[in-house]
Amino acid sequence: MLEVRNVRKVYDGRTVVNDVSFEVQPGEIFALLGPNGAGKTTLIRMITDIIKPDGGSITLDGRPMVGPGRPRTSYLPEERGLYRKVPVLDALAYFGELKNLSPHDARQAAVALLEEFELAAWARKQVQALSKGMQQKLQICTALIGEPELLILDEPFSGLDPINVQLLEDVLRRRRAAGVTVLLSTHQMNKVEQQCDRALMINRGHMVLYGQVGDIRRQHAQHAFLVEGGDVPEGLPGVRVRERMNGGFKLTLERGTPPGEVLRAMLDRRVPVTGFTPLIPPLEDIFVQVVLTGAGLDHGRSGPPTVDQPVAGGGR
Amino acid sequence: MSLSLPRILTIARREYLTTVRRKAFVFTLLLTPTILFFSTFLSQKLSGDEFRRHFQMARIVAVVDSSGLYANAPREFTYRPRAAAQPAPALRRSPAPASTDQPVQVVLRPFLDQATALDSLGAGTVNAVLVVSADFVTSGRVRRYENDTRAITASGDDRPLRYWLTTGLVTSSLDSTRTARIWGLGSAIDLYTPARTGGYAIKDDQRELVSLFFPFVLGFLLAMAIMSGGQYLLQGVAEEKESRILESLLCTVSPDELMAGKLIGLGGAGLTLVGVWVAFGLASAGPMLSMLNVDLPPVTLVLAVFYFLFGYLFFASLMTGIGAMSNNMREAQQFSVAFSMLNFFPFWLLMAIVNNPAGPLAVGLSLFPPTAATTMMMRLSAAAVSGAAVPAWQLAASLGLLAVTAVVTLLLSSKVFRLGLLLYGKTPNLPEIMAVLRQK
Repeated sequence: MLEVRNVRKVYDGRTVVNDVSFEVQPGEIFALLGPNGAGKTTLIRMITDIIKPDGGSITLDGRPMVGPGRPRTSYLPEERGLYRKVPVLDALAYFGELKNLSPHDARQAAVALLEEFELAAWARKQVQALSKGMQQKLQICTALIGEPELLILDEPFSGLDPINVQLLEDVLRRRRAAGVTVLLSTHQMNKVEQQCDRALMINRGHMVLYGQVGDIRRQHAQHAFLVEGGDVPEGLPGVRVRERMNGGFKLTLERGTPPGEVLRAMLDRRVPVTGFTPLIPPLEDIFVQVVLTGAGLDHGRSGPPTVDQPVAGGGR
Repeated sequence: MSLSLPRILTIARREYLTTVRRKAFVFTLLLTPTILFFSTFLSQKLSGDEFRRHFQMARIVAVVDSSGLYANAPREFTYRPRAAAQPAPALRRSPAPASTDQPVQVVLRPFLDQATALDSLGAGTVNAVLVVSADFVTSGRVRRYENDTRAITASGDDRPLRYWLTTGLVTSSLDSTRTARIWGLGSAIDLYTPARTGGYAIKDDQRELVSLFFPFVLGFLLAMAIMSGGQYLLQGVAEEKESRILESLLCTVSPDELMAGKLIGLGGAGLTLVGVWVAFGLASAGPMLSMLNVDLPPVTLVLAVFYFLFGYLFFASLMTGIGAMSNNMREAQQFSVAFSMLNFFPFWLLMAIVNNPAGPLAVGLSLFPPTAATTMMMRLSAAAVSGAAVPAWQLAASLGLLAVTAVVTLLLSSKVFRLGLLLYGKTPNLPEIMAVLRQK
């Protein structure tokens, strides 16, 4: 389990990561979210021991991320590149050797990964001969070689076509099944909803959201429902706003109104209801709302907000 | 992160192989000795051949003798350079130059006036015009006219005419042996200087030339080995930073491992470059050096190894820091120029250093770490030729200062490297670099 405890980083008197704590279970795909400049990259660099935190601790299965027994960690940064004038196989095997594989094992592992990513036919070509999408896949291979225990991927889907996105999703599922801990940083919220179990969102260095992806979405639901099947009359008790939506009606309830009472009121009035579905906001809407309202920035050191402790601005 | 030797060696191997397989490396490797070969041996041979051809050409000289002193002088003679006063062959260490020792046939045609003589020169019926003025005995005025298109005319060309003028002047009052001796005094008196093997030996012009050339070559090779390794490092770091590979690497290897691997691999590439040049040089010039009895004492070679190690460590560390702080190759090159010039600075003062290897300038430059390696290599090789020795304390102080400076630079550069690698898009100014160095 990756455990990040009260991690802090200060640059030139400015706190860019402030008291961040979270944990990621083995075999979990965990999303690290936040707007540009929120401190995500700094946080990742501290986890990968590229830079040292000014406070707090980071461990994987109880082992620190530094020293001879450091966990096998791989990182695909957002700003990434490859050696361009070397054969694809050599470029990948080099990363394998740096991860303590023997030259023979590194080449074998490289061949296997190139096959998994459908790049085997390009093994002898120079990296610069690959298309942008292929280079992107090769970069993901460099992160995967050496069987990392912790895999950190920053925007891994960018530059991939839908077929290759599917391929990468399958690869991630296989790694998760093998017990690899995956930390995924992306702005593609639909991918987070599809792939990730839990998520942490930071803004201006502070934790502003943390928990199960489904719980976060439910927590931020606006207490609204989609009613299908008939004409919903106005003036229903407990309904704050009634508006047409997708061939039905969106009913926004007053806070504290039990949804069952509204449904019963409609049935009492003989409305032919065929569907009564809670409207759960997509993660993208929650992201935008939290960033624009600065929600969660005022919790200070009172501890990380979770779905059990909703942040200000959410869930209304 | 603790340093892992296998990882360092993996990085070193990759850096070395990538560099030596580059077209630019192979190009430099082969082109530099080729250019040197053509610019020295070939051009010397061509110009030497031209000089010999010009000198040995049979000459018809128009003489306008206004003094009347040469009315009875021979109208035709054969000039034999070896017949003039020369040191005894047994005293020479090197073979006598064969270039101009061939006899030259000279025919003199008297002309009454200069204008007619010059017309003949213009018409090509004579090769030269010699005008002896009326007051030659008191003024020594004598002129030579030739249709010579060479930019630089060898002074040896006029030896046959000087010989004719000298003998013609004194032959009436002296016997032929004395006349020959007077002509011989026109050359330098044999100079004997202390020999490395003890006693005195005649000073050898070729050996003197080597004593100037040899320190230059050794110093140059050391400077090139240091700078080429340093430049490869600068290029490698700047390119990796520009192509954003570093962050992926830094998750797997520590900055210190990365830097150590690069230092070893690219230092090896620099040594390979110079090693091949030395092999080329020894293969072509080795026999000449052994004939001139120029050999480097083993201790000089051992010192050269240490000077290379510390000199390379110093400059390579500097280049690494510059590469890490720069955003791209062009920027890195601009910053590195001043430091590269510092390494080659002693060559501008080559004559002063070689002529006075124990003087304050030579001693000062060999103690100053940035110039220590090349200066001391010049002094040591000059000493190997001349027999003079560099005091042990100066060697110890020079090497010690260089070693300490190299290690300090390495530590500071390692810090800059670690932090500078992740700075993208902005070149830090001096206060920011100092702030980086002060960080924990």
